[in-house]
Amino acid sequence: MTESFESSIHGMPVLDLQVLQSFYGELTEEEITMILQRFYQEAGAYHQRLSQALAMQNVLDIIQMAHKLKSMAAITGAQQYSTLCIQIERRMREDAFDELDHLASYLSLMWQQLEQCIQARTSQKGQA
Amino acid sequence: MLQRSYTILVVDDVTLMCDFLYGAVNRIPNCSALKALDGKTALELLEESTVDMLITDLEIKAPDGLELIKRIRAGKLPTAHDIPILIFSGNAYLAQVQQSIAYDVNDFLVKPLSFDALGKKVLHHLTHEKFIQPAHHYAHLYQKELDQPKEPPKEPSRKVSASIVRQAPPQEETGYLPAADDETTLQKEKDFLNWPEDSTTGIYQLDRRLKKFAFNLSCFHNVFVKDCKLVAMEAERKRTCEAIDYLNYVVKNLQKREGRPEFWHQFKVQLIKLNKLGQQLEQADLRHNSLVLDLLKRFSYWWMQTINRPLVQKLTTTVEKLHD
Repeated sequence: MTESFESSIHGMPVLDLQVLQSFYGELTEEEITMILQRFYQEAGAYHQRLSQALAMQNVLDIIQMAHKLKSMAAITGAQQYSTLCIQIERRMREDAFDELDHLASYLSLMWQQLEQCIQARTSQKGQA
Repeated sequence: MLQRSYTILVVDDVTLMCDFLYGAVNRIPNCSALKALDGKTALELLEESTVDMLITDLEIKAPDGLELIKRIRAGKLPTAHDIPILIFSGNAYLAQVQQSIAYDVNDFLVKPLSFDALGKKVLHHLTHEKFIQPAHHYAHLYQKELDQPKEPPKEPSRKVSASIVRQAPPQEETGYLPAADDETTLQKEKDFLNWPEDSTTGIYQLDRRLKKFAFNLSCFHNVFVKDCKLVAMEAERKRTCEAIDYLNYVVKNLQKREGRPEFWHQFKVQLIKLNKLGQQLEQADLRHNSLVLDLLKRFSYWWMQTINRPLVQKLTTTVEKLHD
């Protein structure tokens, strides 16, 4: 399980703006910043709810939150995080609870990395 | 190029996704978008405005996406009942697909999708009319559903054997689960692939994945021989390919945990063959009848080879061996 997930995200950037561009088409720097900020706000709330649901082992909430986050993250270019959510949702739907703790341990770490990337990007553009 | 202007309602409870759809639609010449973050707002918009197309997620705050679709098709709203309806969802599960097909949904768009791809899909469905039954047809279906007590979906029963593939006579384009009565009939039908009762590979997780693959391929076979709509076949094909992927994943992990090198060696030989068949299924043109039927025959042959000794054994034999 561990290796499979790690190998599935191996080489994937935390945040790939080219992916974001490929989904949205041509975007100005301001538009990119705006999308990232909106993603950060909305996905942040869902991320909190997912973390809580994992702690409480609330299966339906886990599935629902992971389901929402995976698509949002995918179109924003947060590929690692999206992959993690896909895996969490899949494990839940397959009743593979024994593998869940391990995936959950990645959640905070990946969100922090994503947060840093978004903040670096938005503050950089703010300064410019 | 569109000849007139169109209003398209997009519904998704995730603001980012809803705005994404809204932006994509507004970029299409002659199209303007309305957006709703929940079913209630969507209903209000459908009642107040003239909507030419609906793009909706399934999992939204009540009424959910399917309920919206049913009400439109059943003519319960002022909007024309035959507008193109596209589902935009991260997942499409069998029960949802079956219901959507019964209500003649025009397309399933799987998230994530790019602006360009979405634009092309929208244009296609605005310019290519699909035959939609009169509203009373769906109203009858909808009423039937409302009258029925809700029960959890049942999995078709499993029986031992693999069927011989035959070509079904062409049927009218009615969807593959048109009425609740037919579900019983479907469940009585023999699965294309079956797991032999009281048998096991000796590894529960592996049995489970093999059964899931058999179930998914049987569903695909079912929609294919019934000559159902392409969208249904596509959905079942996708699930079958996912089941094969997951089988590979499970094997990779179980192999590390479980011993039995001889077993794994033989199983992997079979798995390589299955992966080849899976690739062919993934790439197959589903309109090419004889090609798909041939492929199904090869799947059936693969199954017969795999679910027999030495890989799969009767539970009694396994118990006897343990006692020895």
